[in-house]
Amino acid sequence: MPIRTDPNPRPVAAAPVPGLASSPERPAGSVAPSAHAAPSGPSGRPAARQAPRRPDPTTARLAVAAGGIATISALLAAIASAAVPAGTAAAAPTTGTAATPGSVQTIVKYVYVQPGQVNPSTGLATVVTPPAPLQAPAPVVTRQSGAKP
Amino acid sequence: MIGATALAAAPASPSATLPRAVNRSRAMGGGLGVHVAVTDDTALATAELDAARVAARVRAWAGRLTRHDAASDLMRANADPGGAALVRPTLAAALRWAADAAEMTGGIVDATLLHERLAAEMTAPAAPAPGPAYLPARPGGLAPRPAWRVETARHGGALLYRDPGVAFDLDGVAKGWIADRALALLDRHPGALVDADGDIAVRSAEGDAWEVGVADPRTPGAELAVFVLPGASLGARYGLATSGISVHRWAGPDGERHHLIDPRTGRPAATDVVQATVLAGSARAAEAWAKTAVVLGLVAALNVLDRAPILGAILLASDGRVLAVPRTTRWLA
Repeated sequence: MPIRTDPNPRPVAAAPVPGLASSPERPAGSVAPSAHAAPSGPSGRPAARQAPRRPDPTTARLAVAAGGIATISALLAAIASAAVPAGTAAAAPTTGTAATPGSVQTIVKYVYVQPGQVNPSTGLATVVTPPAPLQAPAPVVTRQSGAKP
Repeated sequence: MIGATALAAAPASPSATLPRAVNRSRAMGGGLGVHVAVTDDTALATAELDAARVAARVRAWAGRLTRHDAASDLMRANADPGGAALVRPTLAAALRWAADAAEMTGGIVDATLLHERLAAEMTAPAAPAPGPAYLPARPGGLAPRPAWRVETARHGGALLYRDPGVAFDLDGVAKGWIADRALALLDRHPGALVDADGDIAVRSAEGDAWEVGVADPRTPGAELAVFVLPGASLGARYGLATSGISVHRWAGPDGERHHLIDPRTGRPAATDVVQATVLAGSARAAEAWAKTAVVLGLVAALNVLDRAPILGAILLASDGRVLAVPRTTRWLA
């Protein structure tokens, strides 16, 4: 039984992506306090032995943060693509309203219950696989209120 | 409405493994069926008695909640012009569910549309609907929707507070609610099904299943599909309900009218959904979502139902197509 999509998907305002707020990183150019900094003597003069100069860690931290953001973005994209059921992609709208840049399309999913039915001519041109024929009438039937059996 | 009662063993459906006792009668303006599944034939007599008792309870509840009897609890509350009215437990419980259904469906299910429904049923040109003399007039304006609430009072009753002129119509809301409540009275049997004029509450026993067809309103006796509702070790509960605009339909001065009012306009919903059937965990929830689907129209309905806490839905569109929410197929025969 094929899965269909709405021939006229409507754009929806893009939602902000959580978790991408600026991280409390240290401003570039600032110096981190080091546990290995040369101790000062009681008089305030530098100690006799100077600690070796270390590279500024800010660049490395920014690189790690950028890599983390890229990883999270890739994971979100993978999750979003996996949420669309198999088969839906093949039935993607060939006609309909183009998405506005910066917007997200809402896809309405449905299946045909009876054989031989197709979308209107303004919609998709797809092949419909007939489902199994209906069984014998059920002893209990749900119907609109007041409808005669 | 009370009609003839008949007791009979139900015809076995292909999925049924347990014997069934059935009580069929008339209530709520339509058919009432109480079906009980038992472990063996020796329990059939007891099941038939229980089914008859439950049918009597259903008729009593329906008599308190109908809008067609000025002496019902509902219409006496509607006629009370005061800001607070003391209501009995059955009406209080049904109204509480109506409030929950309104919240669940974003206000599409609205039990305060009696004035609008009566206006739609008038054949005279539209305009102010005075309603029956025993109803207080509602002040003009449709938005915002009137406020009301139910608060518990002593002795199991409740106090109903509402804006002036609010009058309730519990029609479909009450049927689903009654079906669920009636099913709960049959808990001592392995399985049961209560059909309250098309709103159906089901409990399936392990190893057993109930089959429920979806009527095709275009052809008497035909079905759009058949649901198979299997049991589980702890008992599986389901609710099925159908709402539509093709039965209660008539000609008005400005075109065809029907009974499903869109609370956003106060008029019969302009919709391309002829009928919606929803499978959910309870009959009352199924009824609320089915009505919502019809009022919203096809595209919005499919969009909402795809995210709603339901098990499936089948829609008959005005162009003849029969569409289902994808997860529905798991439950189809």
